[in-house]
Amino acid sequence: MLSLKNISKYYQAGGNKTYVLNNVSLDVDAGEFVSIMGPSGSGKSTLLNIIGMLDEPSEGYHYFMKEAVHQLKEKARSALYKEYIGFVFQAYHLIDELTVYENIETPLIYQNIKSSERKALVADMLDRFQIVGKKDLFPAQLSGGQQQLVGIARALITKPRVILADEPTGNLNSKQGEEIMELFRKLNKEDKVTIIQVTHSEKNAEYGTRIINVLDGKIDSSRNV
Amino acid sequence: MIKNYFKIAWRNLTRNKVSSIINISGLAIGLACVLFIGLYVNDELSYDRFFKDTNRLYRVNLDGKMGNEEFLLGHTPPPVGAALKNNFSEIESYTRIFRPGNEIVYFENNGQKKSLTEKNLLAVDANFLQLLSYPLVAGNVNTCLNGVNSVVLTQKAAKKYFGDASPMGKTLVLDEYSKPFTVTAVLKDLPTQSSLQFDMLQSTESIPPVKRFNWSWVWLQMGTYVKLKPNVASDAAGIKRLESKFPAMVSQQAASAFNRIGQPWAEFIKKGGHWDLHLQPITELHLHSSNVGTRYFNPGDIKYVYIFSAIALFIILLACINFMNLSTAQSARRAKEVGIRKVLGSGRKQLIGQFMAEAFLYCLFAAVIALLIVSLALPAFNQLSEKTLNIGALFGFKAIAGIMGLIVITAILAGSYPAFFLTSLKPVSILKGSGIFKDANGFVMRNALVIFQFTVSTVLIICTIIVYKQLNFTQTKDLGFNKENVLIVENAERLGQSAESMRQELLRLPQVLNATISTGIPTQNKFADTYIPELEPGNTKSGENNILLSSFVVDEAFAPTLNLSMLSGRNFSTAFADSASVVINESAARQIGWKNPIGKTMTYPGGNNRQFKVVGVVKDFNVESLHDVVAPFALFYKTSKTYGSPTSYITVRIKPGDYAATIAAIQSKWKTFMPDNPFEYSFLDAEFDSLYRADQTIGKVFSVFTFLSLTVACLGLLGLAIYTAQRRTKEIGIRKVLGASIENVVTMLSKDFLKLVIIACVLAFPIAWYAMNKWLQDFAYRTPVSWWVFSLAAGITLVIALFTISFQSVKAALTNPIKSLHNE
Repeated sequence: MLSLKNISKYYQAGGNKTYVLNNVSLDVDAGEFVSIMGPSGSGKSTLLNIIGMLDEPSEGYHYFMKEAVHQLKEKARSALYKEYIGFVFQAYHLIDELTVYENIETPLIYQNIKSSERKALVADMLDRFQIVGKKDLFPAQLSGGQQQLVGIARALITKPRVILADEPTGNLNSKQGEEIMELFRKLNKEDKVTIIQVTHSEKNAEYGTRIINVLDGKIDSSRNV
Repeated sequence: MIKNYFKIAWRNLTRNKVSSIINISGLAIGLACVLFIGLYVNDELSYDRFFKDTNRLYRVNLDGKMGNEEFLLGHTPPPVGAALKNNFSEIESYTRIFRPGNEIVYFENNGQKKSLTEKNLLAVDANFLQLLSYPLVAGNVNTCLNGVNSVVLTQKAAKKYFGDASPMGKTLVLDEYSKPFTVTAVLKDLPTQSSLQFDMLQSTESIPPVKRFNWSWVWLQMGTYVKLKPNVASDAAGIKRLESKFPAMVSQQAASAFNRIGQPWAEFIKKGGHWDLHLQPITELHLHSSNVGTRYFNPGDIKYVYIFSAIALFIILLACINFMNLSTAQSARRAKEVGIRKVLGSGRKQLIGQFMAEAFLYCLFAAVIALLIVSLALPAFNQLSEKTLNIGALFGFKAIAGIMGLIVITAILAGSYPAFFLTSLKPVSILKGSGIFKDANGFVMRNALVIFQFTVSTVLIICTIIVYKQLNFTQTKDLGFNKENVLIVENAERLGQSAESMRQELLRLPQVLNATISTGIPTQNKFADTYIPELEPGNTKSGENNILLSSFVVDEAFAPTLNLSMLSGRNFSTAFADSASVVINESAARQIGWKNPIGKTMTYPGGNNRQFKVVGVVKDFNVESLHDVVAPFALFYKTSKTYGSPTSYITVRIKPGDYAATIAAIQSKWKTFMPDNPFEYSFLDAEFDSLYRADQTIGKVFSVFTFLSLTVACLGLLGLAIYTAQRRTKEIGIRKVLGASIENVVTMLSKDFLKLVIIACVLAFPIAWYAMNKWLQDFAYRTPVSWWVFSLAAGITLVIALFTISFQSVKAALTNPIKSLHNE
């Protein structure tokens, strides 16, 4: 479903190019759960951002759902990820001014889904994550784990084929982190959602079906679990 | 979607209370200013538009040149109206007005005999109310002004004379007439938006001079209105064509009158004279006739409509800038939201919509507060601007549409920059790591906007100072005489022969230093006419040798009472027979070209070629306001046969101190001579002050708007200072740990802002200098635009700005660094 061919990302600094990603190729099939690992500054977050179309590569080919992403205009790209991709962030990135309910609802608004339908969808999601009682609270009133739960619920509300998670447990304690990872595993197994996560933790990486190690802008190794 | 926009806008508004308050109060002040000025301008623009067929009504102006004197007047000679109607089919009808002097009115109210002075009398042709349709409450519009002894009162005047009783058919006795006048109609009180103001109308038929000068094409004391036929009035080219036919008619009709005054028409034209009639739409009388001389109207000035509109625009702009600055300053926080929304699938358009909705919500709140401010402060504003503006004017359909438009425009103005700026951010750069990002462009833009705000404020401060400096100058400039402690007893002509005895009586009062009888006093009742001065031997000045001299007829006490100073020669004296003497001022001597004026003569062609010999030259003194240059002026002695002015004054120099007692003493003297006549007096310094009423109003209005603009600018600065202190909390903490003192921190935080304010001051100087030089052109005598005004204005701006900033800086500097660092 996803294919990167000879992707590079570099910054021009004086006469030199500083490579963040250097000639990376990667294929991900539907239903995979990929963990990307690597030290700080190795380029793993940039890789994830390029997969999520939030960032553009300097060179290379990028196919997603059989579309040549590198040829698409900004608008078409945004329409593409809007439909198929959900994002989960380390810092949750909930909108502080919106309640739990409204945060989850927001992506639906941007997909022009009718109000009554939105209500039903959000209610289902709240049920599924057992946060109905928290729906009128603001992010600041929740614990980190709960916030990340809302972040995941928000990512799932549009029924994406892919979830991209950038260190989703990075700000959580280990128990909360385990819960989130269990949730990911369940989503992957039961709902057939493709998951690509960036993580620092060996333990969390083991939840995936494949582990990719990135080092100095290159894929160092890749192994199936 | 819209609902969602407003929801988040509302949450933002309530969450950031400080910046919301700053934004909304700034916008509210700005909108209130716009509403005030809008009401003011609307009022100014609505003068003389309430008549039936207003657009067919024109005033006839006279553009004339006689001798060296050129003038544009709103007055015409008496025969002009009839001549126009008889010669041009385009003119449907005409009507004329004449302003008689004050009249004492004797009347009976509840069986009691009373008398009052009527100062607002107007004599009009019988068809006046048919052309100028001031609405009637009672009486017949077609017949009420027929006949010599009819008067029409306004409701206000009717109440003054007859209380609540019906005035119709009642009689009033006017001082100068033996037969009583009957009230034939009552007018609704005149709208304030009428250029012509009067309380009582009588017929021109009853005014002797109007009849006497019926032949004259040079007696310029009547106002003439014409009503054009509908097809002519709607055609601008047609009016031009009509005007182009006037000169031929005038030369034909006016010739005999010009001959009669010893100015044969052909010679008059040959000497470069002209006598042109023009039509001016009645709707332009108020705002577009500041260059037209008249004593019947009190015109406004379109210039101030423009100036105030510009000020309103600037203040609302300043408020919008606050909004832009605070929004972009907080963009670090808002950027995160923008980034998330973009990742969640929001398009840029939707985000722009959201930010605009937010701006709109702020403006809506501000507008509600602004309306509240306006309704509460309108009486004060009316007092300030000397208007009678009505809050009701804001609730018409057009006004509401206008206000809505204003809100939308303000929202677009305030919201568009933050909307486009914030939504242009790339989500990946915002969401990376902790979400802090730098906005270098926003920083430059904000600085530019702060400079703009303070430039506007400083310009206004400088303008205000100079306006007041000039007003102060008008009060303290040496006028060539002493205007303090001078009391004027009016209506002295009613004393007739006993005026001199009255003067002698007054001189006996211990509080009275001197007293004089004259036909005019500075500010009032000068009479101008043409004289032919004798040429000095050797003066080869060729051609025109007439001089237009304004004059008073005075007694020997005039110069000493007013403290005029004689430059050469002597004052009038009882020791000489001065009936053929004249005292002229410096300007007259200079304009005539006399090097040694004493003993020279001049001839008065308007007075049987009588000759006057110059016995003295007096230092120039200002008879009019400092707007006008001192004109050539002459004083004639009371026994001379120059002209007979009906009016005279007793001017009394009194000792400073208990004015009430002095006035009472003078009044009791008056009562012994004139028991039935009201005693009317004024003070010369107050009369001079009243010449600057318009200027003073402008000064007051200016200072209020200056204050408001400075407030708005400082609110913005305060917001930015708060934001900067917040943003730099960590930096401040580190610096303090490294040993920075509180002063170091305060200086660091204040320096950048003060730099901006200083740049603003420097930019403001040339703008203000240019603007004020232009404004001062209106005054013939003006205060210099001194450098200290600029330093004072810069000082005021800096101190206020510093005060605003330091509040925040000190607070930030006092914060315990451990707290701020721990937070990160």
